Amino acid sequence: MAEKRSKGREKSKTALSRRSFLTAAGSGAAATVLLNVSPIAQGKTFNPDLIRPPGSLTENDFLTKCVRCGQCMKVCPTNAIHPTTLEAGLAGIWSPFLVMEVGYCEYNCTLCCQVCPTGAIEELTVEEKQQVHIGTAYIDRSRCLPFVFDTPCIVCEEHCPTPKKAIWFEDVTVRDRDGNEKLLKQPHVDPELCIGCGICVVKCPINDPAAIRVTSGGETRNPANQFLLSTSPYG
Amino acid sequence: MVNIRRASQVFFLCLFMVIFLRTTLVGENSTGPLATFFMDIDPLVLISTFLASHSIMPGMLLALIVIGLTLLLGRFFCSWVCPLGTIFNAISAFRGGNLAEKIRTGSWNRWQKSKYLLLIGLLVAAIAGLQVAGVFDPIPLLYRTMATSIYPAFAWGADQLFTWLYLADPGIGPIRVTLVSEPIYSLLRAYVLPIEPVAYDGGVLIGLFFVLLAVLALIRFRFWCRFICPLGALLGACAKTSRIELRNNPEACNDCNLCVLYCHGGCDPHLTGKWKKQECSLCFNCRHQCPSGAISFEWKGPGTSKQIVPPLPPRREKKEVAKDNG
Repeated sequence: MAEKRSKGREKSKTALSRRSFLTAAGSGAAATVLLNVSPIAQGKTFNPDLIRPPGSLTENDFLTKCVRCGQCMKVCPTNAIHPTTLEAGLAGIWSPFLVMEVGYCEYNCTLCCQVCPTGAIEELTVEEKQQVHIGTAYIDRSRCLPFVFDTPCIVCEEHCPTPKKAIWFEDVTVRDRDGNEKLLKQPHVDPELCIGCGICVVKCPINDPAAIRVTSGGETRNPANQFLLSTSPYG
Repeated sequence: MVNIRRASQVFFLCLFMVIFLRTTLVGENSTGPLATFFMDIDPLVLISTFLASHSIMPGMLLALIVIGLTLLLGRFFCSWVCPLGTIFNAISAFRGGNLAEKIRTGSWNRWQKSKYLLLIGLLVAAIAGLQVAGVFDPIPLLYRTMATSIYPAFAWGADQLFTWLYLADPGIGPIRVTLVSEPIYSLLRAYVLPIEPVAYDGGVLIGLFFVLLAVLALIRFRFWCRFICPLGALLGACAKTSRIELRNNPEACNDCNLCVLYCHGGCDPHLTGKWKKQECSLCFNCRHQCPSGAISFEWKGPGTSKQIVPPLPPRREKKEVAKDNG
């Protein structure tokens, strides 16, 4: 009898009290609600710097699957995939995003899709992956050599990996400071063709920052994240 | 038994590291084998992903084997498989404090319940659609820390060190340091270091989080595993139905408390009848250390019990260290 009572006491010592159980459960629920109070989490805005690996699910689905293991970061051969700190909100801490100042998404590579353990990044074939837009490049005409420095440069177009190049040239004749005529090729991005791989950013001879940059606008996984609004948000 | 356990720990830690190093570009567009193995056997990855997204990858079902074995045998994963547990285990070997202090802090502490609360919070959040279990899950935590912090730091440090040795090349006469350092560097380059140097945005923060946990391991034996680890909590909850039970024979026990000193989980092997099954990670240190042969493990079948790990023979001559320290 005495032993039975002492066993009961022992059990109540290690068992979680109802109060602590409910507190923990309530904290989990409260954290979910609090961390979703942000325009990004609710899909009202998109972070232009949050470029997810190719094959990533829609942002909300992605965050329900990503376990922040970092395998995509380890396997990426160009060191392009990094852990977020607050780029994806606090709820998305340490999830993967591409930093194109460091690396770019290699056209013929699907390694991150292959190693994702939970399917947050879908396993795509190389052909499928090459159709996925992870973002779109745009040219900064206030920094680009042929636009402001009257200097010939075709680096971005040369590296552009899509079969029909997403970067095309307009031949223009300009006058430099001394009044001499110059024939220049000024680059343009075709957003229909650009997959946002970012190799143009890495290779651009202008640094701090590059004269061509990639934002997440136009990404395949979020049809709502377009830089050209097809309709007004106010209907 | 303890040596088999240690071999298992070393094996899985090495396996983790080899898989980690091989998870890189191999050939045209493929990576080393078993890349997702440790994530796949992690039950918390399986359960939290399923709760949050209602769908899983087929490979993740491997974790059901771990759950099944835990229901049957107990929380063996923590002391036999978990690579992060092994690392904290090793760090904790250097913790300070005198014997009495270590024994006092080695026994069960009510704060060990906090990991179950963290688990409940994470699972409720997952049901509500917020998947942050991976932030605290030891397998993703270790992989993430290795990938973005430890590995780049090691690679950078090795590059700096061997470059410096190559340029300075100290030595006596014809005996040069580079005769040793250059072959080592070649080996590292071939098998360990990345092809190109790597560095990660935010890697420092992830590294500091790990340093904090390492410091905690120096304060309490396996602090992370006892107080925080939500995977340990999940496995501890599963271990409630385990058939293996510790038996401390009160007639043989001389209250030396050596078992507490070496206990991995803080499960109180020294208190007869008060052993905490959900905290025991089956490290078998208690049985190994017991000088009086009081501790054995029994298999509790329905209506039967069979001694499967008998006590070691008493070693009375061994020092009766901590008797006075309570």
